[in-house]
Amino acid sequence: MSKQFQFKLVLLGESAVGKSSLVLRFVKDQFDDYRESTIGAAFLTQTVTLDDQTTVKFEIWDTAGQERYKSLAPMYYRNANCAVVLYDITSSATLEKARTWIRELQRQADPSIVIALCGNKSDLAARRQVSEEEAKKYAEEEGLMWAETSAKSGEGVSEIFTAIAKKLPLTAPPTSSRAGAGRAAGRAGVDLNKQASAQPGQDACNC
Amino acid sequence: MEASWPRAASKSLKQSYTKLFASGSSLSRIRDAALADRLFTSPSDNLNVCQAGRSLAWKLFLLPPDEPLQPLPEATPPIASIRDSRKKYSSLLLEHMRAPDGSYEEGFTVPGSSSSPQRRASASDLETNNPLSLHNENPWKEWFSAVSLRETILQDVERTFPEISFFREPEVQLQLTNILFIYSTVTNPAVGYRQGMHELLAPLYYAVDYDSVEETPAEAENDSTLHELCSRAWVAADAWALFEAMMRGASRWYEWQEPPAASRTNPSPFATHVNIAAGPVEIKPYITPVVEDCNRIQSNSLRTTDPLLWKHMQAAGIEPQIYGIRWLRLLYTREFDMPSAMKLWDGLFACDPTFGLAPWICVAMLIRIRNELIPSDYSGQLTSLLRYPSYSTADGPHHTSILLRQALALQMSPSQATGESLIVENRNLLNIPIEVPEPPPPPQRRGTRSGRDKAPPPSGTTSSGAKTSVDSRQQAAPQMGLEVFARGLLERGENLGINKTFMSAVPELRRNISELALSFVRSPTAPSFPLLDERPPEERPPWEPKSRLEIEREITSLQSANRRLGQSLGWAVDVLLQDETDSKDLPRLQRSKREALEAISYVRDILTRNLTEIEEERLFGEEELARRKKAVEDKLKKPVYGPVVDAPQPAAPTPVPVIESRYKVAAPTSYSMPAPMASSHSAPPASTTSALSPTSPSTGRAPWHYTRSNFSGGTLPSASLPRIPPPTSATVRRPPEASREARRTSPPRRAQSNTEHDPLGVS
Repeated sequence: MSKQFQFKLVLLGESAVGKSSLVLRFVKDQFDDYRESTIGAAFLTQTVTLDDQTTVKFEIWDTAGQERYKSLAPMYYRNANCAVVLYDITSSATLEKARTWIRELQRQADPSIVIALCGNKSDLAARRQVSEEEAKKYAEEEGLMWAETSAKSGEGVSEIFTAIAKKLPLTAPPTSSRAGAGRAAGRAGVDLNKQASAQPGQDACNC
Repeated sequence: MEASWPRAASKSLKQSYTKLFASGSSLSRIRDAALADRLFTSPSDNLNVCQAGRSLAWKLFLLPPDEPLQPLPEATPPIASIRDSRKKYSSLLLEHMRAPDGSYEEGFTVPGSSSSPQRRASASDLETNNPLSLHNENPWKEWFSAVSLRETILQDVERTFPEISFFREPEVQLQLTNILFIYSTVTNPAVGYRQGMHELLAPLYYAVDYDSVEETPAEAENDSTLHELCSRAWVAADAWALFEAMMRGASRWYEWQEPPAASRTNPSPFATHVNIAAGPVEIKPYITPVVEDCNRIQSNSLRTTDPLLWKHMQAAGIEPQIYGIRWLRLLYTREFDMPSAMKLWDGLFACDPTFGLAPWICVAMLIRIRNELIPSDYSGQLTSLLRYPSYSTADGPHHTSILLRQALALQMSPSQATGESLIVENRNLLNIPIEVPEPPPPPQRRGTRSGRDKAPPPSGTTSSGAKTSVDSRQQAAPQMGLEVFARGLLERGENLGINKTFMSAVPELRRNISELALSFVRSPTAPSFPLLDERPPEERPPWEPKSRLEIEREITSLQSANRRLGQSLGWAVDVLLQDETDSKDLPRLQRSKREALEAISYVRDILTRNLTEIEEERLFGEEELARRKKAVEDKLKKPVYGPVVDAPQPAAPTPVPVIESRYKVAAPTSYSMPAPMASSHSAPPASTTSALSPTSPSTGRAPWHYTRSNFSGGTLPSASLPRIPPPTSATVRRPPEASREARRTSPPRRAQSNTEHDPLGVS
């Protein structure tokens, strides 16, 4: 019998690194040369089927790159089970930005969150500013998944999402219980304690 | 520069100009036209995004008028303010686009001309003014940050409205970037450039460019003002002026800055308790205005106007920022296609350039998609909110005009009754059913979410099916009538000074009530909201306005009372006009005249003291009364005084013999009777009302009845008690969500993965 799981995934990264394009490629297998800037956030879902017939449904929050002042992003990464932090391989500044996002996730997000660092626009390797080694080394230090992708060509896109699905705790109840509890509190909390604990998280989005 | 994109035909541009500025229309008339989508004479075709003359209207609405002191001026082209802003933009650009060495970037041209500016070498200290200098006051530092800001802006400008080729022109992109750069560095450096501003500017620029005309000397002589207003050389400057005006209202939704680090007290052990007790106003250092507005939209405005929808959104855990930020920041450019959004802007600019109406548009938008939202779960609601469904009206008012009118109605009277009237209007004009579809039953969770085109779920009875067909048949007629009606009202409202939308709401409701009542008779299930507000008045809290039915009832009874008083006066006048000299029966006439005078004074008493109980016997003389009663009996007791018949009528037949006998036996007392009665009427009102046994509905609404309602609280959900749950939580349970309960109690891991049992499983 096949099992079905559902996870909340959040995409973070500097403006114009290709977050929306990556999701569009993953969800609809499309690519637009010009993709309008995301304002606030976009919400999409996509299901991945693993080898053992387990299906993992991603609820994807595609955030706006310019929400750099941390006013809104917490609302989206709160209770997220996984995060994809994107940078643009043709701009080293975007890797710097990715680092700050990762630091923030490690500090603020659910401790069990699975984080993947993604170097997008690998089709533009000729204009590369971020070497594979540099990013890979950083990812290893921080214990992150890492890959290079190209939303334009589709290279590596479904692979990274499948890899995340595999890494998510699909069987072990102890690790996932925290994520589940946080999720319940954020969504439809009834338990007063959980509400109280969810409250500060909610405040965080305003400060 | 020869354009490869469409521009306004000069004929229709001239037409629009004439309509706006040369037909003697007052500004308020033009505003009304904009609200009702009657601003442009030429029918909008779908080939062109814009309408000829739109930029003229926007300039009129947004820019400061030339003669601000004149009351109710005829609309005049804001030519002085245009000249002013052009000069200002030009000098700002020259100042801020100049590198510290006095040079300009290649291809930079002075606005209003096509020539490059002269390089003006600035004599300054090379120690500091030098790109490589590390000096703190090195002007190059600022310059480099300006260059990088322009790059950031260009990143968004490049991908503005990808489907409109106009915005792929490098020249257009350059101008948009310059405007945004000037705005974010000079006008509003505290907020700076924020994503989304580019999408507010783009339609403005498009409209100005669409109307722009080349200044050729021959033509310029004829319509010099039009040509100056629409000068192609100044497209960017004019778009900048419009954008500045627009951002005066819209910039609050882009504010993000925190105040200087506030002293944050360490959370005491009681901090959380305090937070919960204080509800949403707990200690928060800074809430961005956009978040504040979003919260207000959902937890105040929507909650008052459509409590059921609010409850379901709250239960699903929808945070208002998720949809509200985009709706407000972009002013609906992503929710509607460009022509519709521009139409919406016409009305928005016309009625309030500070955009106080914008949040109410959001509320009206939410109510419009309530049938999608209410039956859906979290994920389904998100999908509807973030991919706003498109609507179209084949004929009749454009769907954005409906939205504007509804937003105005909500703003004027934010009540549940207004919310309900919106739902009815949406049924009539947009064919959105009033009944909320049932959430899809659990076994069918693979099916699509409650899409608009989806057939109603099989759970409905046969009567509901019959009803929908009736709805669609009934739809055409009221739609036409309503539009004509609403337009007429809009035109008249200007003179009356009463809000047009409010005025138009009442007759519309009256039209709908009989129809609605019918539909409820047919439907066995309770409607999803109390459309006919039949709560007794004493249960209604004092802050709620009277329901429309009550008001209608009152008006009707008032009208019938007036008619009776008028009849009485008519009779009295007739009697008094009779000449005593040629009367055959003088005593009878004198008696009649006395009766007439008494009747007149009684009418006076009724009118001055606002009495609601009218004693029929005192309105007419005895003869007349007897005659009238006979007439009534002859008519087989057909009601004479309108549909609402007050108490005296049924009692009428009996007094006839009594009065008759009293007249014969003790005539003087019968005349003295009215006098003490009249004096009792002049007693203090409290005793009067009690003496008159107030049973009419209007007196039942005395203030003391309100005390109870505060506690009976029929309308208020328990969530309004001091312990307000945080916005994300769901204190209001939905019955079908048994699995959510299960999710809470069972180990979360399993519950979360157990999506097979999710009744509203998302697909």
